[in-house]
Amino acid sequence: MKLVSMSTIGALAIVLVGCQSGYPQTSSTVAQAQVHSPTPRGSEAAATVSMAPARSQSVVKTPVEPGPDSVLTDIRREAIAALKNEQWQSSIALAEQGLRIDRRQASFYLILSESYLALGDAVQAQRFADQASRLCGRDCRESERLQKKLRLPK
Amino acid sequence: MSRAKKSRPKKSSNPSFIRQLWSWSRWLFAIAILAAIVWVGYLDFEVRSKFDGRKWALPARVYAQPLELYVGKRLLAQDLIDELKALEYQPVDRVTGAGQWRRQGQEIELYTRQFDRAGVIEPSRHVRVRVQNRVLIKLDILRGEQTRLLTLEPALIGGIYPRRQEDRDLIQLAEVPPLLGEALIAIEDRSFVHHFGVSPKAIARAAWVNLQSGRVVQGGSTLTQQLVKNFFLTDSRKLSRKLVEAVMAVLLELHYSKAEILETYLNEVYLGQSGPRQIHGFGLAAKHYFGVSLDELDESQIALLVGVVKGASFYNPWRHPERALERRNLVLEVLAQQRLLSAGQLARAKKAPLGIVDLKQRRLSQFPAFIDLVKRQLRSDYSDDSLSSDGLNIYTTLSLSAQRKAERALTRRLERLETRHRLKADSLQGAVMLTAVGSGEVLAVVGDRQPHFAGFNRALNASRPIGSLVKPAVYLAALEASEGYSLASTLSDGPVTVAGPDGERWQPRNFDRQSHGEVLLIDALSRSYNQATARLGMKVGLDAVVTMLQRLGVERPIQRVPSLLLGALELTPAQVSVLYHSLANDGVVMPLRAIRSVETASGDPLSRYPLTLSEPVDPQAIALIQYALQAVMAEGTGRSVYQQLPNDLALGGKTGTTNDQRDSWFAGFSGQHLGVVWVGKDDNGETPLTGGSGALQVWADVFNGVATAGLDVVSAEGVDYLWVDKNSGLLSGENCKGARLVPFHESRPNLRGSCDWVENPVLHWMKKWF
Repeated sequence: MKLVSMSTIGALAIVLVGCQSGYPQTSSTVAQAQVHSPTPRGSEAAATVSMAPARSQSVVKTPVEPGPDSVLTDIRREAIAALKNEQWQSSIALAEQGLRIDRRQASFYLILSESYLALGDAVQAQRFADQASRLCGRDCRESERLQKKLRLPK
Repeated sequence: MSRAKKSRPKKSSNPSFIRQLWSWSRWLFAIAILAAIVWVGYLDFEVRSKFDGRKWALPARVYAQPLELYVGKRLLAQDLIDELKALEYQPVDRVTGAGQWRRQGQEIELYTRQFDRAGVIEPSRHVRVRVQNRVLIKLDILRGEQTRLLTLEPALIGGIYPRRQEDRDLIQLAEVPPLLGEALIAIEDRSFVHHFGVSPKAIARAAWVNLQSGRVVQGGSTLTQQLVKNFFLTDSRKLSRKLVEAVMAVLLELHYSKAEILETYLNEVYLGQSGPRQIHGFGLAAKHYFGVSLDELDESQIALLVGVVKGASFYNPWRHPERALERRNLVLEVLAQQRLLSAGQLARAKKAPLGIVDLKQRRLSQFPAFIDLVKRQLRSDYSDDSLSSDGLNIYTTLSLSAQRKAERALTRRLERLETRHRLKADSLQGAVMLTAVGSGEVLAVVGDRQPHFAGFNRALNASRPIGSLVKPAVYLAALEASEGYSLASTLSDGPVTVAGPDGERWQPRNFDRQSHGEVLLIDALSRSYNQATARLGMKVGLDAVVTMLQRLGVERPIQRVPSLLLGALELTPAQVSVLYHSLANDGVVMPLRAIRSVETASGDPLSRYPLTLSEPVDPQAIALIQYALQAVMAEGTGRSVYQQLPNDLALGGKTGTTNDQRDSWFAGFSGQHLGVVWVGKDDNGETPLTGGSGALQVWADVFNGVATAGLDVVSAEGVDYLWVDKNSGLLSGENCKGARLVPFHESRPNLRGSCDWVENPVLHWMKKWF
């Protein structure tokens, strides 16, 4: 009897949970469940989804080719070194080079923001900092620090 | 007496006349001497001022963006090969030195050349790369400094020339191979080191030969005279000009050393033609004929170049190879007679082929539409004179492979469209602009179906009504408005009438002449319904739409008229590119750039053209619009694109068609590239083309050839994805019939519709988890 009631409860629970899928879910659940396209390779954006309507939703493709992470690491290292050496033009050129490879790398926007701040262009510094904040994903400490530096609390 | 009287006047008149004559003569002589002194002084001034000052106006050199190779780069193997060909790398069986390459299956082995850019030296490297599925997956440095980012030298794509399109690569005497100088002297002026500018012996010899033949067959000009003729004078053969030439030659020799004269000659001499561009000097000629620098020339190549001095057109090796070969061998024999070559060297050199580069490869790529954009962007910082004479190096954003693909796509597709729709040949025209999303760098500009024709540049100058390309701005304004619109809001697509300020009534119709009842906002945009859009735009307000267009980067004045909502706004493809780049780039607005940097002739940095950001548009609303523009491609007016492109390549875009189908537009983007295409007629005539059947086809051809990544929409903070009913827009569920996933930002539907299960919910649930 106990066994029957347990299995009944279990079945009922399954049905109820199954029924839930027919109703609107919390947005985050849906988004997580519908990740079709991989996060852009090398991107720092934590949660990216490609929910292209119809056609691209139906296709799941696993990337097999390597991404440009290693070259981005090298460029970032060089750009930070230029930043430390106060070679602003060089750090700007390197950060732009990095963004040409992956436009959603928050770290390069941070480098641009720092460089423009040092060059006295507060408007561009703020816009690059905002862009970094937008793309920082899970690790936003640096962009928050920069926003504070720019005295514009986010 | 009388005799004496008679004879006296005779005696007295003669001496007086002679004296007078003598006196006049002396004066005349003195005046002539004075005039000669003044004349020679003037010539001396001419000679010295030109020789001491800047000798040549050096055109600005315009370079494409350098090809960067790294693991993970999206690239077609053919793109790399085309780039190597443009850089005049030689295909070989075995790669042993710089400037060589070979292909083995999916791998390409190459030996890069060293180059200097803004003081940074990129060393030569022997490398092997592997490309698979349009991605570079392996980069092995076989020899040379290790790196994970290999940069090839940028290809020269053109110049900004003065009216006379003289071009040269300046060289110094120290850089000239000794044999070249010796050969030139041996062939053109054997007494160069001894004479004082003119060679009486050579003149006498030439005069004798000419007298014998009854016409001018031989010249007695020295190298100095030839230089004077080219440098200061015209090509006239008048005696007076010859006299001036001789005097100037002497003056030149008086003031300057033989080495200076020879160096100037080596840079000045005319050696060929490349289209309208004149090839002057041996430095540029070496690249023009053989694709190598001066120090890489061998004996046979030196002999050909020296031989061509006599007549670059007459001995043109592409047009008259036998004549050129004969001339080259004659020069080689003279060099051997002069003991400048050994018998062995002579034999080897005579056996060698002409060795000139392929005729197609020889022509400097001409991209007039792109250069036009470069000039336009440079004009705010540099004068025309500076651009055409200071020898500036201009590093641009042009991608050689993208440019060629865009050109080919436009030319070929217009021909096919004309055939398919039975249009008169060459009646259609078009323009293409391709931009890198994120950096705002313009990769390709095509302004004419004959891309090398430097005429009217439609990409920059053809302002045409943009039709439905304006609609995303209308919907974006609605999504940002306080009325609470979402992509799932319903709109009426019924007939709509708008009263204008002067009593006119505007009654837009859908392209298919049908009304579609209540439609979701996302469908109204993806299917480009005019009636629903006009209704939405009027509710949101024209001011909001105009403001949105301006925020997205449209800088020209916009008329606040209802027809604006359906595209009564004239923009060029370049201006549309700015607008759509903002949509493709997650709402980050920026000016598009065709130039990265400018350097002086000696390589010192002059100016950079950096990435700059304007005020961005609300990222949440942009995420929604990007989603809707993907719907255009997946199920709306742009869906035919997937007949050519892979299904899993996520793309966004919008078609545009104007009244009577006079303009066919398409603006679309992937994760990395934005392409804008216009097709129409120059006389504003009607066409049978819509945005989807015309411009979109060109666009698909371009994107088919470009290695690109699909869209990956970053989930903007505050954007959630919910299931809604595709007809009512009410909340639904994943397992409900007719449900579709739609992103929402601020305003979400509260009402829930009924749900017809697609399948058993338990089974559905289990499928999801197992």
